[in-house]
Amino acid sequence: MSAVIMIQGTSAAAGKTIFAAALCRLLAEAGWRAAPFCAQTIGADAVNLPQGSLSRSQYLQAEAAGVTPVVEMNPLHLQPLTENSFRLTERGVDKGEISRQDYLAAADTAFDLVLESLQTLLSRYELVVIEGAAAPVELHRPELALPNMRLAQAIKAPVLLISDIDRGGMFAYVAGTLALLPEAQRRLIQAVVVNRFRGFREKLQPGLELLEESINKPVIGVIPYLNLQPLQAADPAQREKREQVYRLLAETVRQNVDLAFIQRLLRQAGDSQDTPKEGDGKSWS
Amino acid sequence: MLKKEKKARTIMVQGTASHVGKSAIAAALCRIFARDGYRVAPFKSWNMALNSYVTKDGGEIGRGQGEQAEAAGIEATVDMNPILIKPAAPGQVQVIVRGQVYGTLGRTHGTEQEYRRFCLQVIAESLNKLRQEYDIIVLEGAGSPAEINLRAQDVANMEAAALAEAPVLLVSDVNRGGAWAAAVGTVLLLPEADRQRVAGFIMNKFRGDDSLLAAAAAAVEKQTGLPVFGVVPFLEEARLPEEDGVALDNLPRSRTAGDGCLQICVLRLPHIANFTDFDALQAEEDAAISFTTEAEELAGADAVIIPGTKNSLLDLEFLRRLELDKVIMQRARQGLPVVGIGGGYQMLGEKLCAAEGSQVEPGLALLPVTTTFSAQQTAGRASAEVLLPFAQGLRVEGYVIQQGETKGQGHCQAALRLDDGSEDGAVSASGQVWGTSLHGIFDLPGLRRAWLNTLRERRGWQPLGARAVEDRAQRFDALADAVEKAIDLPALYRLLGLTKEREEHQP
Repeated sequence: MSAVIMIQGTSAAAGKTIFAAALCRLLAEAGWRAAPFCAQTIGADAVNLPQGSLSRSQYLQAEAAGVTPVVEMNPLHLQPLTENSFRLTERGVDKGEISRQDYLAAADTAFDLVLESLQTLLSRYELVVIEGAAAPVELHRPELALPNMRLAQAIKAPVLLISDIDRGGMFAYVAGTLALLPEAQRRLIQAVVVNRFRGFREKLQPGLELLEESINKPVIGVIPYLNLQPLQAADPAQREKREQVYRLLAETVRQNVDLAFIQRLLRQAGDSQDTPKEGDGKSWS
Repeated sequence: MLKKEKKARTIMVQGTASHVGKSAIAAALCRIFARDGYRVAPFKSWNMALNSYVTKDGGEIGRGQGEQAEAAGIEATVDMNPILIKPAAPGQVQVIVRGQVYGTLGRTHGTEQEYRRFCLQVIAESLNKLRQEYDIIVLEGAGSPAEINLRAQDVANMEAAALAEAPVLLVSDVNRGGAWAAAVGTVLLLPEADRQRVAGFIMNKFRGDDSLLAAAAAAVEKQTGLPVFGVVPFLEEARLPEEDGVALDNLPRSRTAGDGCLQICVLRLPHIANFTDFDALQAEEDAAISFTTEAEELAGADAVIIPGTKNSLLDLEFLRRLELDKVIMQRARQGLPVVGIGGGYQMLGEKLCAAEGSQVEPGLALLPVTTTFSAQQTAGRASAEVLLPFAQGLRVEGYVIQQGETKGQGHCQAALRLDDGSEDGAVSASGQVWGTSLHGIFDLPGLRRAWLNTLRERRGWQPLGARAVEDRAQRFDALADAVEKAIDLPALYRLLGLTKEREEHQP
């Protein structure tokens, strides 16, 4: 199996999508053929591809990675219809309305589709950057298990946990997420990335050290607040604008996140054959 | 009757993050306790807010406490938010103590410790004063109490709880996601003494399937040993005025332009202040309000509003840098309606003269007025007769917070005649551009509708009638009803050492 890395968030909109997009671009710049993946999106915008619809996030990430977007990058999409039902899209094809109960009951079948899609990507690409959905610890939303920890456990993915500090409470979101995960899942989380920071880094530092001590995981980056406008994925006229954003994201992540740490994770995640090797000219730093 | 030497009971609402709905929950508790017959006051020791509320005696406090006092059925006083912090310029933060400007943060006291001691003393005095006068004080925290890098500087969360001897309800935002984790994590990271103060959790802004909530709450109780007092649904009634700019940056667009909607652009100035001015406009069915700095959006709008700002000069410079000044001036000459409120009104004038006298900045020159700044800030409520052509003769109430004075040059049609006989604001010859120092002017339903109808007329649309006046009392009651239904109120009364039925010997 090729190497994977997974990004999960402590809340919705923590910055998973843009962080994954930045990693896609950085990997592409380093010469890797990398693909984005999200097992199951919920309520996301979609872009129409020849094979069907694809979530906007994975479309943008594929563009950032310089690869052709395909429906396998987001095998499942749930569009909430009522409090207890969704419209289900499988690999870009509309499957109609499904109740939450029915969806959960058929989760094993859905999960097979996810693994199959991921396998397709892994056979075509060297690396896959996997984005989770919302947050892994949503005790009242069992449908979030599949795209987060169920997948991570099944493929033993190294997970980076990203948290939005701009709204406050970041330390608690991180510590609480880890506290509520069962040990087998907690072990998969390799490090924390702080997103949307504005303020004085030196004032934050003591807090980060206390957090690392408390959770026994490293904080490998603090990404500054970027005031980004939403990107129009399908609009070819905005291609250049998006390109600027990918470059900005990649550069920002390069400067503020410990990429060597992530590279080590990728190396460990892959098997000997496909593993990125040191000295193979595809280094990040 | 309450004996004077007795102190009010206290309860505090803290959050796992900003914008979890603390203010609304505190307002609901104020209303609930007041309806049960208690004399209730809100309190927020320290508040960083861009939107203000002006008390009857001309003091400036956070908007939230003004609203909560109203929910409690009392007149707000400066003691309810004794320390208010307002960003005024990069690296410059205004400190307002009991309603009056005290100085600039970092310059009021020698050291951070001295400043903190001073804050805690002011807070304790105001809190004790309120505790003499009321039966129950509902305290509100700021941000999260678990900002572990800032605990030593805290005067807003656990320090205030300790001063007030208040049990703490921790509110977590389910809608944002990660709420259970945030609740558990907050308790986990608090030092032991602070953790002891947390009585339990309120899960807020819930929408979805509630069949799994009980199991989730049980997991959190098991992990922390603390109860979940309730799960409050996502409430439209809970949309109380926002206090800071984070809210603007995360504003969902409820309506989009087109589809019979007027597009009204409010400039998203770096030092925007008192943007609650536009809450009422936002509630109108035919108005799509966006806070923006996109030139294209401004150029295509039905109207542009320049809002209040803590720093007219810096924000004017900001507009020039983005060349939005040109867009606005050019489109206004072509007939685009432009409105300025507070600092935005100052920017519409011909000149803005700095306090030191040397600096004179040209304004957008859409109104024949000049502003001369002074170090002194004036704040106060005002009522006036409307002179604006589209709403002539209406009576309006609002408040003014301003640095400096804006005066008409030569003949200039004023917008308002204040009850003290003076005039305020200006209207352009075409009537399309106008400005005023009075905040809250759009809260007047007749004026709001009349102005929107002038915009409709430009589009060739039929005017609409004014909506029924929003009954604020009803809104607070709806909020209180929903929260009362969702939470374990007897448990909260037990925390207070009181009962729902107020007895004569209580507290």
